Amino acid sequence: MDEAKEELAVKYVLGELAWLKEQRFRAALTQDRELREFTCEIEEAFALFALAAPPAAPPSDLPARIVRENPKIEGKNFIRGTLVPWALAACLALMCAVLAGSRIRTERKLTRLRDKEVRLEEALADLRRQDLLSQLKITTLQAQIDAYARARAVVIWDEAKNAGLIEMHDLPAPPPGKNYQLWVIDPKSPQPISAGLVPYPASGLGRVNFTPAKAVGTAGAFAVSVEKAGGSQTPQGQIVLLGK
Amino acid sequence: MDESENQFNAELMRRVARGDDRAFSALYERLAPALYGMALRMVHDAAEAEDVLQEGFTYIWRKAPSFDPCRSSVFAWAVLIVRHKAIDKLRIRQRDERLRESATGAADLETGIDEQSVQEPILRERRAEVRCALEQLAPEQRQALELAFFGGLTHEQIAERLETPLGTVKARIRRGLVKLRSFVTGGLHGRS
Repeated sequence: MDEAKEELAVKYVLGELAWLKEQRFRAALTQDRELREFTCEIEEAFALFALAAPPAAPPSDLPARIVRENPKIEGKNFIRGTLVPWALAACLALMCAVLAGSRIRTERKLTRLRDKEVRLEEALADLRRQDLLSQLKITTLQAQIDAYARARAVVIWDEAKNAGLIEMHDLPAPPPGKNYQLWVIDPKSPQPISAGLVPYPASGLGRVNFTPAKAVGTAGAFAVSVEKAGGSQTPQGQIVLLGK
Repeated sequence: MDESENQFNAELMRRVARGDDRAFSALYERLAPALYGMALRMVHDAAEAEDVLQEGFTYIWRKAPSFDPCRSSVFAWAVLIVRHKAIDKLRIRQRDERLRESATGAADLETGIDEQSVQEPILRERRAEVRCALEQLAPEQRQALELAFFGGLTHEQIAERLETPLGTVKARIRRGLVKLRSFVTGGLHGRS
């Protein structure tokens, strides 16, 4: 592509073209595949600059303002993920003022975790209904020991490709000299099948694509265990997360 | 943001187009911290940045049916919508050049905001990758692009601001974008 076309595309992406020129350019985009692809790609590139600014939490009442602006949005759904936690936190704070003690604190944590879990299940149920994901098995892995009570993981398994993706939240660091290892449990296989080591997500969120060491007939369950550095042929360490 | 993330966002947008407000809520939670941070940097005023975000998400809700996943990712689409809203604010406000300068000062990737405190697990990884990519641009390319992106300045205004020939500015912006384009097409940011 010549520089003149590239420059025109850049001006379009920057929003510098006058109305008539912009309409002509849009028409050209429908005819010229190379120009269209180039424009799309530099538009994506330009948008990356948004991530050069530090992220900031918008005010908690902003969703409510957006709902007011758009009557078709169900407020109860839209603010569910933003205002409700604040309301819940306020209620819990009052409870703590009245009822001190570790039992209350523990219950509060459990409530939050259950709430998170319910929302996760709802989201997954929605996703299962989508054609896009209908061929995939989605499994939520639950903590098997108290130390991992905050940890959550979701496995998306594509049986046709014999491959999957695991997303982990709030997994604690493994003990020194140990690694996390993912296993696929196939009822027809005498031993769990290794799906490889899972790097510890220091940022709190980790996402890893995996392919098991051998073909899986039916992925009945998924498990994460703590294994010696480098991993094991069969699970030797403690299972910390499990989901069927 | 990897391909699965883009696909997830595109799926959310498909549902938003059907009027699914839960999907809209999920999209808001995913994108709002990045978009609000961007708006803040552009308008340097919290109240106006809130208005920008509000107008941006209102537009996204109303125009979701027109979103074309073959043409852009949800992230880029949303960014450009909010950026246009912010530029409108800048123009309406008609603040002087000094304000724009402060809003678009170079080398302010570090602004002292505690990013870890912002609930943004999805984009945090991507942000680090993008910073690496931006650091690979020549400083003058990045400066010109930041003036265009955050200040909404035209090529001519940037040339005037930097006291640099217009042709040079055009070349910097074009080459900078072409260089970043290789980052986009390198598989790290597939189309949603």
